[in-house]
Amino acid sequence: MSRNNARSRRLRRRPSRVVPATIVAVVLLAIGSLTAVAAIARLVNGAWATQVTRPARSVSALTWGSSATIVTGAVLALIGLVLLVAGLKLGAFRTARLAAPAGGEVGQTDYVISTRGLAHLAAAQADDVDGVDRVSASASGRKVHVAVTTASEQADRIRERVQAGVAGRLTAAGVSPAPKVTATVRTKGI
Amino acid sequence: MRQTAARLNRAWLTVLGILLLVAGLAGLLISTGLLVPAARAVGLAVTRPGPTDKLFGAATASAFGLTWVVLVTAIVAVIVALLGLAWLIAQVPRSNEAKPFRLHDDAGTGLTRCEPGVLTDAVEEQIKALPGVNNASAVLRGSSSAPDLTVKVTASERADLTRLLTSIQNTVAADLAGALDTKLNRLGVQVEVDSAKKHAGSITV
Repeated sequence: MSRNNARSRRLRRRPSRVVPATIVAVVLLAIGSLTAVAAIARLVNGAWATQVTRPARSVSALTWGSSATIVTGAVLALIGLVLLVAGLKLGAFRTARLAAPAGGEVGQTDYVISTRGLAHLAAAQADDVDGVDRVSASASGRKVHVAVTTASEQADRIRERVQAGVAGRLTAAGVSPAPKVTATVRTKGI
Repeated sequence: MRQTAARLNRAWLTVLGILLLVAGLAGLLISTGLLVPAARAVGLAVTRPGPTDKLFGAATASAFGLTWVVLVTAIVAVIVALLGLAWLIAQVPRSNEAKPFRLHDDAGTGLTRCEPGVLTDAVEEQIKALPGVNNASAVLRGSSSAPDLTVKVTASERADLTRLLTSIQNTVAADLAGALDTKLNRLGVQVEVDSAKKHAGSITV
């Protein structure tokens, strides 16, 4: 499957599911390798190795109604469901689009900022607001949340200023569509 | 900026997910004794296996004593292992940089080749010199007549991102297009923002 098509060149992408794919690939590699080694050893030696016959004997003693079989079936179905969800669920974008500036002769433009970068921008802007002691921010493609700590008693006023400042900064940076900015203020005990 | 096998991953995860889900549910149906009534409900005359039947009978054991069955098992196992290995290798992100650009490809009048790395080095240096930029990396894809430039820029928190993008588009990309004597087919810019906390030991005046 080519990675050089227009879709894979886009910078605004959904999660690639690398972690579940890597785990499943390793499991497939392990199962395939062990089975191949056991089968080739059987072809060479004329008999299955005891590492194969012992577990095979215990599995063959099981009935369909045994609790081990029921648990195995349930685990398989659960893993299947997890893989199915990982394959079908789109997942959130990890970048937000930035507006292209005017001018320049370029066929197509694709400008993005990572959600981590958005959070850093928001935190830096909130940190400039008078009265803010500590800031942490998180962002998705559409929402930015800023949590600030202040020693001031004017928590509502600080929240409004943080929200307005961050929203203004993101709009000025050209984040498009402009994410919804929310802020919470925790007042430190004086 | 690097490309991953997203579609491959999603396709195979979906296929394997369906297979495991169906196998697990079928196992549960048999184990709980619901297979026979379920089969009867859809008009199938299935009577076995039931909860009291063995998972693998004597026939299975004797089949695995046959050489050709073992041979087929070995071949299938090798194929599964190779598929797993190929899938694992596909997880490595790739930049898929262009091959050397053939600026003149007529053997009669002379061949001129240009490594994309030479151009991207110049692009990176030009972007790093822009105000508010801490780091930059670039990849050129496509051909010399229709180049695709993708740039990852790490900017400081105080950088004016609109001005930065304008400079990249109207100066850096324009210079590259001028050097290649063509129009850029596509320009992609991924902006990262550096946290000031990483530079706790430094001061900017």
